[in-house]
Amino acid sequence: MSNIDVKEIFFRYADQWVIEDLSFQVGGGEFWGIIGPNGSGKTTLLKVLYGLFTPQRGEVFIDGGELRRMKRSDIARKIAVVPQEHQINFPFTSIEVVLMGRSPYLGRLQFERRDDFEIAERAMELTNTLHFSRRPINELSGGERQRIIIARALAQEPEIILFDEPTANLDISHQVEFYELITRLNREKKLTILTVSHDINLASEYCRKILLLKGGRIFKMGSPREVVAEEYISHVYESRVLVDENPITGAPRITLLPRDTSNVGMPETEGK
Amino acid sequence: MIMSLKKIITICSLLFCLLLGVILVSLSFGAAKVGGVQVLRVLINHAIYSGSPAGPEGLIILSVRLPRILLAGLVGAALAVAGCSFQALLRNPLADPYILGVSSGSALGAVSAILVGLSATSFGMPLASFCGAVVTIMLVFHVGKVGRGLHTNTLLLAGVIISAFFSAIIMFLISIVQNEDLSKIVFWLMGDFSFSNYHFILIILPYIAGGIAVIYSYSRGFNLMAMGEETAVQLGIDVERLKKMAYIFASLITAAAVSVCGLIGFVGLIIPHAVRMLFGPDHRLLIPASALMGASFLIGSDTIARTIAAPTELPVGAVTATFGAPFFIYLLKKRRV
Repeated sequence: MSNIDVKEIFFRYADQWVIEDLSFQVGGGEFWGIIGPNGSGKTTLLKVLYGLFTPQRGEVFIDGGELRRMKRSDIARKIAVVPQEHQINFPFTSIEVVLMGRSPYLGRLQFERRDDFEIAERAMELTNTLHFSRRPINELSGGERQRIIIARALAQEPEIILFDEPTANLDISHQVEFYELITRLNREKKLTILTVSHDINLASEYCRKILLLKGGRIFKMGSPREVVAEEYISHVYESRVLVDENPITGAPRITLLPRDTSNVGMPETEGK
Repeated sequence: MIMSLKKIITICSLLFCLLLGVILVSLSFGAAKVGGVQVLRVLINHAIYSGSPAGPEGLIILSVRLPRILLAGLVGAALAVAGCSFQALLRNPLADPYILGVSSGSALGAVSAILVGLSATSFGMPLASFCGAVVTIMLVFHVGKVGRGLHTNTLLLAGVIISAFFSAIIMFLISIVQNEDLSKIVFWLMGDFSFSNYHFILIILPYIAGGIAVIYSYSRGFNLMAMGEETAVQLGIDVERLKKMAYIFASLITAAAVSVCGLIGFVGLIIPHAVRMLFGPDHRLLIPASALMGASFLIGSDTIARTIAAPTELPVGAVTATFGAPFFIYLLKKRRV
C-alpha cells in the first residue's frame, strides 16, 4: 500500500497560481474524491500528483520518496492514471492497449513475456472486457473504452490509481458499475484511489474522504459527512443546493435548486 | 494481433524476399533487355570472381542499374520510416516526411547549388541540399521548442511557416533562372535517380541505417505516443526525449535521402498506411515492414519511370504520385484514416 504526502505545493502555468499552498496526506488503501467547481485546480492537481507537472514550490512524496527525483518508469509502476478522454486515432486492439500497461516493466527492445499476457488477461477479466479483447479500441463505445483503459491501469500493477472525471461520459448504469468496480479494487487489492469528480452525490456515496477545492486551495477536507454540507457546497459552487441523506445508504446527498424558487412549490410549503 | 519477435521476423523475411524479387525484375528491365537468367549469372559471376563485369550486359547491370536500384531502395526505406515516425510524433496519420519543412530547406539548398553552377560537380547539389535541410531542421526545432520541451502543434506551425518562406525564395530564384537550369530544378523537385552512383550509396547508408536503428529502438514508445502524450508519460515514457529523438532522426534520414535524389512524394505517406492496413499499427513491426515495403515500392516506381517512356525518363516523383494519389483517395473513402 502506497501513501501520498503533499507538502505545501504551488503550481502555475503562467502568472496565476493554479494550485496554491496545498497540503494533504493520503494513507495507503484510502479512497479519496476530489471535488470543486470548474477551474478550481482538480485536474491540475492530479497531473502534479503523477509528475506530469512539477510544482514550482513544495514537494509531493510517494512512500516518502520525492516525486520529482523519480524516473518516469518507476512512477508508472506505482501510479496508474485513467484520464478523462481517451481519443485514439490508431486502430490498436483492446488487448494491445491493455498490454501497453506492462510497458514500465519492459526494456526498450523487450517483448511482452508470458506473465505479461497473464497479467493483462486478468486485468481484462476484472473489468469484464476479455470478450472483446480483439476488437479495435476506436470501434468501442465510451463505456467499453473506459473499461479497457482501467484494465490497462490495472495491468501496470500500481498501488495508486488516479481517475480524472471517470463518469463524465457514462450513463447512470455505467456510472454505478464504475464506482462498484473501483470500490472492489480498493477493498480487495488495497489500491489507493483518488478520483476527480463532478458528481458530488456519487463521490459522497463511494469515497471515504473528500477534498473540496476552491481557487486552487483546499476549502474543506474530511469525510463526506463533514464536507458535503449545505453551507460549504453552496458557497464553493455559488449555487443553491439542498443537502439531505440518501434514504437507503445514509450518505449525504445534494439536490440542485433553481436560483429563483418563488413561483415553484417548495417542499416545505407543500405539506401545509 | 499480438506482437512477437517471431511474427516480426516471419513477416519481414517475406517482405525481404519480395524486395529481392523486385530488385531482380528491375535489373532485367531497361533500354537493353537482359533476361532474368542472365541477370543472375552476372550477379553470381561478380560475387564469386568479383572481377570487372564481363560484356555489355554486365556493365549495364552492375554499373548502371544496380547502383540506381540500391539507391532507390535506400531512399524508399528512409522515407517510409521517416513517415512512420512523423505520423507517431504528430499523432496524425496524415503526416509525411516533408511536413515539417525539411523538403523546402533541401530544395532551397539544391536550387541555390544549381544557380551558382555547383551542379556541374557530382557532390555539389547533394551537399548543398543536405546543408539546407539541416539548417531547416534546426530552425524548426528552435521555433517549436517551448520551454525545455517540444510542442508538436507549435512544431507543425513552425514547419509550415518556414516551408512557406523558403518556397517563396525558391519561386523567386526560379523566376530569374536560365532555361537549361530550369529543367534541372524541375527534375530535382520531382525526384530523380539518374545521377545515382555507388559513392552516394556509401555516403548516405550510414545516416539512413543508423537513423532507422535509433528510430526502431523507440518503437514501443511510439506505440504509447500514438495513445497521446500524457498517456505515454503515465505509462512511464520520457516523452520529451522521445519527441526530440524522433524529430531529429526522422528529419536527418529524410535529409540524407532527399539530398541524393530530390523530392519524391507519397512514399512516406502511403507506405506506412498500407503497412498499417496489412499488419496493424504496432511500430515494432510497422517500422521494419515499412522500410522493406518502401524500398520495394520506390525501386518499382523508378523502374517504371525509366522504362515506360524510354528513351525519355520521367521524374520518379511523377510515378509515385500517379500511384500514390489514387491510393490515398481510396484510403480516405474506405475508412477514417
